[in-house]
Amino acid sequence: MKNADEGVILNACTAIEVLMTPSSTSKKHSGKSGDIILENLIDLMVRHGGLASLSSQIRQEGNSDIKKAALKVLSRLLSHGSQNLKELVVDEIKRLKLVSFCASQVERFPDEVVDEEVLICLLEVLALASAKSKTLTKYLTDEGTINKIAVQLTIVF
Amino acid sequence: MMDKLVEAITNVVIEYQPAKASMLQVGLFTPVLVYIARATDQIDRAPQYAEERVIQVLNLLSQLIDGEKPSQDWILNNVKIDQICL
Repeated sequence: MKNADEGVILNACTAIEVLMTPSSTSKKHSGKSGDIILENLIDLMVRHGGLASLSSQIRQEGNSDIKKAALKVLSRLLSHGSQNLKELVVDEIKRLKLVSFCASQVERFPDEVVDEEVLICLLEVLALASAKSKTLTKYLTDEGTINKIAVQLTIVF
Repeated sequence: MMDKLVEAITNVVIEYQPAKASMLQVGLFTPVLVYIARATDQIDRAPQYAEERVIQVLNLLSQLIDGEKPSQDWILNNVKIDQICL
């Protein structure tokens, strides 16, 4: 993900996302060991600056495919792992101010950087992050982001 | 996109009670209730009224009014409740 080549970054993000997606087949065969591998992978990502690399890819404006792929990895990090790991991920997200950045991106929709697909990825991250942290839900409410999401929903209805 | 919007709002209002009050202010209840009223006739007949999606929206509605008297009163004053009970 730290590579300068966009193709390498995109493939790296996609590979990590696939590795973090427990398929029904692999779960059936590997059972608990599959969960342990997934936990180790998340642990590696958190402890070795993976979230900081993801953050820089989410914040770049040049390639929306990379932005989407990085957001999907972030969603996987928030969806899996033990409670301790989830707390580590949420703490790192808070440190990197990723929720406030995602909230600001939601407010940009629609534009050339934040299209519908990017918005869906952003909403997934915000939904998963807010399900695990009262601080983050308070932030989303106080900053008015939740109101903007609600307005989008009234349009979609 | 609708599913993700519903999920994001639901998760926030479950965790943080003050968020529920702001949903009344932005006028979310009218489109939600119109959607549910339409869904009672068209459930599973169109993708936007798929059963799972309708359940998500009902869950959102119940979370929005849970412990939030102004929202409950607004619904009682503006909606014929038997339409939803159908």
